[in-house]
Amino acid sequence: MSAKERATKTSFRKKLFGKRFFRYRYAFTGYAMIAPAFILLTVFVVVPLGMAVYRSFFDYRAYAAVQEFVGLKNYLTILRTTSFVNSFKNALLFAAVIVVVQLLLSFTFAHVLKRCNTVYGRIVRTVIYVPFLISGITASIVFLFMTNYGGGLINGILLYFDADPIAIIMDKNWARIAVIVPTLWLGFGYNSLVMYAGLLNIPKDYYEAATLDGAGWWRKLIKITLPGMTNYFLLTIVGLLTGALTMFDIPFLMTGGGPLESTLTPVLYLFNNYRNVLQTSSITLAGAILVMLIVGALNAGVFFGVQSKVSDD
Amino acid sequence: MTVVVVIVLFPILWAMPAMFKNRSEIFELPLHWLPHEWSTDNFKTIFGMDDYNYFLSIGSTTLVAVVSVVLSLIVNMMAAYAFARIEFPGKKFFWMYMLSTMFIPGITILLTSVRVVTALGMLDTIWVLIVPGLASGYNVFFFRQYFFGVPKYMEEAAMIDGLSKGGIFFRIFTRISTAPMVICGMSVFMGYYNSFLWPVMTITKNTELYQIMQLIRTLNSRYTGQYGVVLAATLMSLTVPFGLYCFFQKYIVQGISIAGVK
Amino acid sequence: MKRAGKRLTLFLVAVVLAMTAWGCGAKDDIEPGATVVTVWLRDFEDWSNGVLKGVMDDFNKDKTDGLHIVYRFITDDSFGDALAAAQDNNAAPDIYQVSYTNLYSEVRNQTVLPLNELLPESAFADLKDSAKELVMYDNKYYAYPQLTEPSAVMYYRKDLLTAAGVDYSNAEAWSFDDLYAACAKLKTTMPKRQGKYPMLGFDFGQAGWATQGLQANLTGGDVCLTEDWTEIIVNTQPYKELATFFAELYKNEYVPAAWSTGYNDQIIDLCDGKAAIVYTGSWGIAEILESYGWDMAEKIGVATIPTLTGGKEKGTTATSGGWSFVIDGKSAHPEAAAKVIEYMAAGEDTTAPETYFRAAHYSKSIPRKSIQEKVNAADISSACPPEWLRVISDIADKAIPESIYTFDINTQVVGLLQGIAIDALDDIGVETSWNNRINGVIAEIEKIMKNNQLAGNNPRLNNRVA
Repeated sequence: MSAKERATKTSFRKKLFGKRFFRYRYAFTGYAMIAPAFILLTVFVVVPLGMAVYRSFFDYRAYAAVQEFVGLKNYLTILRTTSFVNSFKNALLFAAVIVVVQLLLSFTFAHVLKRCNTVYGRIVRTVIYVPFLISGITASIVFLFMTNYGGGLINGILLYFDADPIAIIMDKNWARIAVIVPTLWLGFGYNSLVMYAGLLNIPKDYYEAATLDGAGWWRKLIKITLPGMTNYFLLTIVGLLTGALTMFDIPFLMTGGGPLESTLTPVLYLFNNYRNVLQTSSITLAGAILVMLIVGALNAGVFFGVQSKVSDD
Repeated sequence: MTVVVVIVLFPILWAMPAMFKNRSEIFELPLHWLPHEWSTDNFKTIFGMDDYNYFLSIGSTTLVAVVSVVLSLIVNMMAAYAFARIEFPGKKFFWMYMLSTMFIPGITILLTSVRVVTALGMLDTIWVLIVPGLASGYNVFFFRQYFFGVPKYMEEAAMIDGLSKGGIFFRIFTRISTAPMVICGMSVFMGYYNSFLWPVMTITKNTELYQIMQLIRTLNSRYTGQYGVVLAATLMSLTVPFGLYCFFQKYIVQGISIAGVK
Repeated sequence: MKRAGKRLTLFLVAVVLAMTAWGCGAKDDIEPGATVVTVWLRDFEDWSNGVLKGVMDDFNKDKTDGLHIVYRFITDDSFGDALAAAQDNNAAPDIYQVSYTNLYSEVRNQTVLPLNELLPESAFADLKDSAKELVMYDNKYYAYPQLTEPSAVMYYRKDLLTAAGVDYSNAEAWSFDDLYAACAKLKTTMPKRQGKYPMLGFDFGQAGWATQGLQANLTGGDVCLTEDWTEIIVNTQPYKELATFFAELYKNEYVPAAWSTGYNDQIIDLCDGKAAIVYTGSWGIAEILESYGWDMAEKIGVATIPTLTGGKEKGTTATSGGWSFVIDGKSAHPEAAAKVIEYMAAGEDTTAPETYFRAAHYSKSIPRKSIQEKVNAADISSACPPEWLRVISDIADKAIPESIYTFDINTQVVGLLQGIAIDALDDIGVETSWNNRINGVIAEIEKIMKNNQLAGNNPRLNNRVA
């Protein structure tokens, strides 16, 4: 670009933005750079969402000549559906268990990892990430293989000792465990590594100073480690919470939501009902929008909280 | 620590030899890890399907995923850079707009998304598998946080050298971001590699575009009584992500520490 | 550095071009100017898919008819999603398969065309009355039956029963008590320590439709609702008997508390010797002969499922389920689609149905009179043991149509049965368990009936009036 060309361009921008010219001197580049992401998100996320919201107010039937406007009726119907309401209770239970257990496990293991800074430690760090490469479908298939009633690993051992085998789909507690364990397994390595990274980010001098002051491990944990890792904790919680509330493929394959809907999750409920040909899909859509609002609200709270904290730092 | 590693790897290791067990042996009691009789029946079933080609499926899924990773990194990193380093009117609005798309679960927009891609004439092409998932509010956020941490002096030096903002991004930022690119790329890859419902709904004619999870689910319902077939197909499909991981693993642990800063 | 960037760009451009070419490549050799008819079918057993593919490929060999079929097989668990998405976008296939249970909702949603004008009258005249009933609403035919099949048949391993000292010569007439007695003996020879069980019954995933025959047997004909859909009968004595049946099987460990093979495929476990008695549909016959052969067939007996009272004349013990072909409500060329249905099922001189039923080892019931006559006249003992055929056709003759009210009602009944079975495993008696659960189930069914305005609206009754 010649100097002259550049000068013309600059003066054009100057005209456009006036006094704020300096601040916004790269605005065109900025727009150009966000344009692809903006357009893609608009076309493939926002527009479909708008269509879904619009459709949720109709008694939508693809082949009917006229679509009947029903207002909020679909929302009321789905809120009165026992299965849907129960699925939320299950999801909250899963979320609570998974968040607490996973945090404890990964936080503890991160400490172990931190202590072990040898070659072996590096191998361990590499290996525990592996389940993260596995899809929910694959994990379910592997766990179903282990929990098979007739001759899986667990029941094989139980039967060998003449104990009663466990039927995961005939006992609501076992069914819930069968859904939770693979979920924990998939996320354990990743979350441990995140926690590990968090631990490494806390300056060593803090601990040394505390040791000089005669602080015990508990005091160090409360006064240094936990405050230093607030962001890591909050972000892990957001991730785990969203994951738990939108759980789908593991309960779908492990238990099918049973027994008696004790492992039915909201997304699984919605998935099953998209193909319920008798009722309009608008009811399901209304349910899907409710799920979005709840997950979104829960996360937005935590998320924007963290974000403002990060920007403050 | 060893105990944890064993627990983590155990399910896969336990399942592995079952690929070679025939139907009657797979749940045979008392338990035995290695098969009494090494059988290749499961593989014969998988490769013998006349309507699905396992290797083609792996290939096309990998191709889709790799192309998507590259495009998605370009799209999201560009936007992230703009949000991190360039001032423009309406920035706050655009930022909130993109961020809020993070909270929309796929199931909410599943049916209407099919409508959009149909209207765009993308049905049954490879693009329908790639394009709709490229942009992600979460990944833009992820890279923006990383770029915040990059010291400003690097850019200032580059600008003195006469590089434009775009030039700085492509010449400098893409090169110093290997670790976050690997970690984000890996999760984008996994997302595409494991997608199931979307391909079922959008690929109706092109059999060579059948994705691997589609094939596994087909096997799962076609051979419900034959656990070994499903296991073999599933475990074999892990080779691609595992291979990639081995190749890139040194960046991943490093990358996660950045992910944590988010 | 610069060069690397260029190379990457070049590579990307190449990949993109290659993919575009790939995505647009034409593959089928379609005759010029031909009308393309798309057909979506369910992905079932290999032999079944194979025959249907063969039929359609043959159809496509004729390059003068101006018609070309493009087909797709989709697994049952994603068929509904794929179809819903397609119909939502005017991208639906011209022809697809519908089960008799779901046909009514398709009719209500106007997603299928009436076929009276599209297919010749003779095609419908040739249908057996029992088949006509399955596809007719408001005196119009909305589908053409491909096949019907009895949903519940008992299969047993003669060798395993003999080894346990069970006399199976009278299996056809077994009552629940006879079944329990047999299972009690089998428990010693089929120990769970070896991963074996006396029997596999109705699994809870499929019990919603699979038990309907047994429900009708116990109630004397009705399933869940009275015939006019005004009253719920789930809280009556027959249903308590059914619940007791489930409780006995689970409490005594005659059936495993959980099992990986579903109802549709349990025949595999019978052949593999993991269970000595299994229930599954008549399709089990084809599976035995296709996958295990005649040696295995000699070891297997087929009988009507046991009932509360037993005896030779059991009446209804199964529903007749199965599949029919429909033409999509927005098909661009319904006449062409009708031609394809004629070739695949309805035509006067088409050979496709015969080929199919032969490949099925006659395990499915034939909906058309003329084809049934041809089969009756031929010697088919080489395709299937005659004794089996007799049992199957006996069950089919007495089978009733599958329910067409909202399936959620069946799901509620399954919930009740499963709840009672779970309680039985925890040593809670049927009486207590029943009293705890029945009111909740009835309340849910009432809600479903209200939401769907079912009361008094059984569409099958409308046909008979007119």
